[in-house]
Amino acid sequence: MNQRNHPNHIEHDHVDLSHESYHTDHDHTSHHAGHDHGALLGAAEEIPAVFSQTLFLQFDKDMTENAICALLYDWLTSIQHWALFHHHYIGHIKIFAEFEEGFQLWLSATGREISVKNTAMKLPKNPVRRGTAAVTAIVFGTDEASLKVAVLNGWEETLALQSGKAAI
Amino acid sequence: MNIIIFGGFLGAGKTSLILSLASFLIQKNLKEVHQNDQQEVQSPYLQSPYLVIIENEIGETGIDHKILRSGGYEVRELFAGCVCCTLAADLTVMLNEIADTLKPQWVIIECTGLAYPGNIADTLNRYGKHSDPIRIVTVVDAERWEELAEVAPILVEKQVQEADVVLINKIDLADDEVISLVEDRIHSINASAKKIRLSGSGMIPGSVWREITGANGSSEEVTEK
Ligand SMILES: Nc1nc2c(ncn2[C@@H]2O[C@H](COP(=O)(O)OP(=O)(O)OP(=O)(O)O)[C@@H](O)[C@H]2O)c(=O)[nH]1
Ligand SMILES: [Mg+2]
Repeated sequence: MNQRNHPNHIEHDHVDLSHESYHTDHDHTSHHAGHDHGALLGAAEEIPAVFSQTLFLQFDKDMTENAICALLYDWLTSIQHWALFHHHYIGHIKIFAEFEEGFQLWLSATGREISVKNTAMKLPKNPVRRGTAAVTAIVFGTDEASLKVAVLNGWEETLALQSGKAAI
Repeated sequence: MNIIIFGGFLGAGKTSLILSLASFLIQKNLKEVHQNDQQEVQSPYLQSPYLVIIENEIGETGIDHKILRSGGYEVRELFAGCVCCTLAADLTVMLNEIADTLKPQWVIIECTGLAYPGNIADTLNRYGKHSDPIRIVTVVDAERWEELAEVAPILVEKQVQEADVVLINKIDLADDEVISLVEDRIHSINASAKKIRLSGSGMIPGSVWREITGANGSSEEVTEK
């Protein structure tokens, strides 16, 4: 499997790991997909917010595998930056993207380096115009609505930074 | 039917290690079939699967089942909840159905990173149809252990406490001193568990999986990720 560590390494040393920084004042039962662990865990900060959705990706220009890889990498970086900037603790952020001709990318981050893998070990022979991305972000210290905005805005902003245009 | 539950915090490396174990088990089975010369082997996926993986994810959209399927494995999924609590009954029904219909030699269950694997084993021991003992393997992220002991202390300690084997993963990302500290801490939480240091991003020696599965074989082989 291919693994690529992007030079744009994210440092973790500005994250405050004291317990106070993970305190949340949101409802513990509504934002974590039915995961009813509050009583067992005994600590509010152990219940994370979850974003989990499949997005349809449509590009209005031909994309190479490298361009797609960079786009998804930058998107994941933007979500990670958002979490670190707000002192949220990243459980796991992962993206599994599938494109034409069986091209697949698995990206994952736990707050440090982002790993990228070509799971099917296939590269598209032709330029790519569309695909899907299953995204799961599990982050402590925030709520589901803020996490959703961070993930979706992150995508829009990443696209805006690209020279071409694409839409979900 | 042998059952292994993989627990461990979010992103600790459960799926990566399951890919390696699955590859080990399928290779082992192929060798045995060839040796016994009982049937012609066309592919690793014999009529009745030798291995079934059950994937549980908190999110409504699963990801790990796609990764495992792209490796060619037989996968069943349970999403939008946790098999140690909200989906415990669904898991039991699914496992009993697998035992009745597919009758695989091995079932691997990947829990969510927030699950207590001991709860799952208790439920399955009480209501499951299997007779073999369930093994709990907890994957620990060596690089993040200290942080996690602050962020989710009850969870990570209990995941270790309930394990038969603790895989101290991501040793490529932590220095020896840190790894030794993590190992000591894990030992103080669960002295009887077998502890194995490894890196899910590299090749895993077959001896690791033999130790966990009780399989025989040569000690040189390695399994792909
Ligand atoms: N450097 C390094 N990375 C690893 C190792 N093991 C796993 N990873 C990476 O860590 C990330 C998370 O691994 P997963 O296997 O998805 O972890 P998981 O426990 O299944 O995650 P969840 O199911 O989301 O809880 C991926 O990017 C892996 O490639 C390791 O030993 N070393
Ligand atoms: Mg996983």
